[in-house]
Amino acid sequence: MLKKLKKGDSPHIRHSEVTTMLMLDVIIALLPLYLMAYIYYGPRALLLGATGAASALIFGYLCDLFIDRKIHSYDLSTVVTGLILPLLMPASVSYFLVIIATFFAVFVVKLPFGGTGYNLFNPAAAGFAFVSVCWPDKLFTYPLPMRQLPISWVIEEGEVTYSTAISQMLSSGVVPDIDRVDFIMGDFAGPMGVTNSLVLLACAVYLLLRRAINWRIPLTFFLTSAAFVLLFPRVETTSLLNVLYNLSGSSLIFGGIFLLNDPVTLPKRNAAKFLYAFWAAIFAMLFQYFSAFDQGIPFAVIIINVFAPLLDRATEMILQKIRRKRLEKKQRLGTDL
Amino acid sequence: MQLGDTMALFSKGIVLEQHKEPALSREIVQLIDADSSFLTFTQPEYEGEPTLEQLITIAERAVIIDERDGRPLAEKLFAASKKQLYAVVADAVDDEPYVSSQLGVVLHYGEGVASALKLCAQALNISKYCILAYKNITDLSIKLPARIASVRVLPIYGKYPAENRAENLFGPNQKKLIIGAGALLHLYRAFKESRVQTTCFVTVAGNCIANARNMELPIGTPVKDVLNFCGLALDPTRVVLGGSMTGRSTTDLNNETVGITTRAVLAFEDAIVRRKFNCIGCGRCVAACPQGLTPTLIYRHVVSGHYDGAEILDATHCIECGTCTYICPSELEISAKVLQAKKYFLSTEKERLVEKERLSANRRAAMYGAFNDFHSAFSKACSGISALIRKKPASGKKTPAAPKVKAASLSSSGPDTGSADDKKE
Repeated sequence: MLKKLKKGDSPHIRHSEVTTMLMLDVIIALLPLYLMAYIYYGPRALLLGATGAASALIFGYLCDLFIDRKIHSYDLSTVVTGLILPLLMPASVSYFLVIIATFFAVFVVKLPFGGTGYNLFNPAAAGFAFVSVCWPDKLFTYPLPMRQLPISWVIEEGEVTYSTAISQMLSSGVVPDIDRVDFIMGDFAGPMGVTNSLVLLACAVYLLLRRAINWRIPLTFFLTSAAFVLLFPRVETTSLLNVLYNLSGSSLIFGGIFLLNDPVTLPKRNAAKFLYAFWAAIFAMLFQYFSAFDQGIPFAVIIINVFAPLLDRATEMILQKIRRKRLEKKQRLGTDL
Repeated sequence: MQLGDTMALFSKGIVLEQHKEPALSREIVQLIDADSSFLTFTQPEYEGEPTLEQLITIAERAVIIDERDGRPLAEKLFAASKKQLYAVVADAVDDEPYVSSQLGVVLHYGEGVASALKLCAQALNISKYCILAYKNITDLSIKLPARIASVRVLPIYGKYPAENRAENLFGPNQKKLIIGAGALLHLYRAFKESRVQTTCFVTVAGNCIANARNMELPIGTPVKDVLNFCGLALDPTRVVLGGSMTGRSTTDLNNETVGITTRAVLAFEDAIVRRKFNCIGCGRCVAACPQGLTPTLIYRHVVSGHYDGAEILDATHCIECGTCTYICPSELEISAKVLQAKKYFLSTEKERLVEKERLSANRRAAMYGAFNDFHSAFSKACSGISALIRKKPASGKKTPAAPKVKAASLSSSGPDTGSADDKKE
């Protein structure tokens, strides 16, 4: 008895929640999106996801070997990156592009900054931005849903019927003509996992209840982008339809829930979070309106990530004044004896 | 007075499971040699109720020390007599899990505490007095009585660091005297039976203790005797003196003794050895910090040695409640690092320079250590590959190459030990 005694800092009891559980929550929230993608595009969607997750695990393991740390892949954050990336791409994309994007996310965006927790940019957004700049023709042509895609490595010409995405119609000034139910269920051409607004919102509710994401970010983000669309409509329809087309036609909802809420790149103070989401929405809408690519949110996320520490610093400067004034008052009164 | 704890709903902090139960409902045991009724002092002469001066004399002769802050009770009463007070409060808050030494005293010896509190209030000429207790939402089985011997029990609600909220209890400008429940009981005994304080009240609990209970122990009892009395059901990995959130752990059980401010002896066994992750910046600690600080940023500044950048984060405001470490999902020792920053900012210029030098030396050692590790591994691999390519014995060339590798590996082991602290992060 009493031989295993060790010293440790206080407190001596701990909360049962672990980082792995946080990441697992995000993975659970991503699974319904894969189910929807399976219904729309067949097993190829699931294979793409598996490719992303497996390559992320392998790259994460290599990454830990490379910087001579204990294996950190158990925190599953690389798997989250690997699962988010295929959902941003069309289902007809080559497996190779998913692997390249994961490689870039892990080895260029995460590793040089010190691995999980230290990356300056959201790895998934940066990985997507890299492949979309390199292969725009492959990433911005979308197959029609409800048609089974072949699961082969290379998709031959003529095997897939391509269609125009809503975001592409909007940028060329065409009013989309889509059935309401189809629109809510995401039954239209677009990236693999970002069109199902209803499922996405259900995922958001799950994440909010599990406290994996903060309500301030998505709320501010969606409200600001809706206000932006109302102020500067792109096509001539009712204002409600305009907002809906702009938000769920592109990856804005997905980005506001999964890309922007990455805890590593978020500012830490609540006041800064409002500002962060506000400017992210402005940048995202500007990208939607004026960029050559129709999915602008990953680029907006990368830009706003840079400002997160600055926003934190500014908030901290204001909070410091409030805190010091409060302490001064307390010391002056000296109520406690 | 009925203002109470209205801000409790909006208070920041954490909900903690209290685990007070087995200890709190049992009788308070005395160790055999705790009986000190023969140790008496001569009372000052008075009729009926003692005046303030006589009460101070009693407290002084009975050597009563407040377990709340470790100050002599006579000194506290004297300081209180100089100021315009609003209320006298008996402190039985015990907001930390497992600890119930003050609340136990109030529930089991309520009469004594209440009458001592009344004595203090009458001597100080104050009409308002109450007993302060923590009512936690997870503790539905513990019933706090509304009154103990006609003294009102004022519950504090809300999340864990509740003790610091007692300051604003009666409005922002009201001064009050807070005395620990144990000290009040000792004052009552000194008043009634002329007994000197030789004992202290301690909770013995934790998931390794077979019979968790509140005990009255002679001051200076070795911790090992206390644990033996209550019995160990499991082999503990950690023995804590003080509360589960703020106490300090110890390994030297024979020489550590129980003092007046100890209040608890806890023995824990961690079922699973938790693995540490990097900070992912989830912001749990920021949301929980009762002082409105940003623990995660202070932690990062301290780990990387950039104390100057942490000045804006006000680490000196920390009240050391341990909330941030408790809630952290990455199992990081945040509060220890915040405390390090607090110490740094409260220290003198010279000590600051020493601390900075120590940190930068550590960092340099870690950097060179990592470089040397990489270099030795790389050179070994290179020599292996070149030997494979050449496939020659090359005995003349091999001998100078061997000591080179050795030298690299030797130099790598040197600074490695110094950098152990930094490599953990």
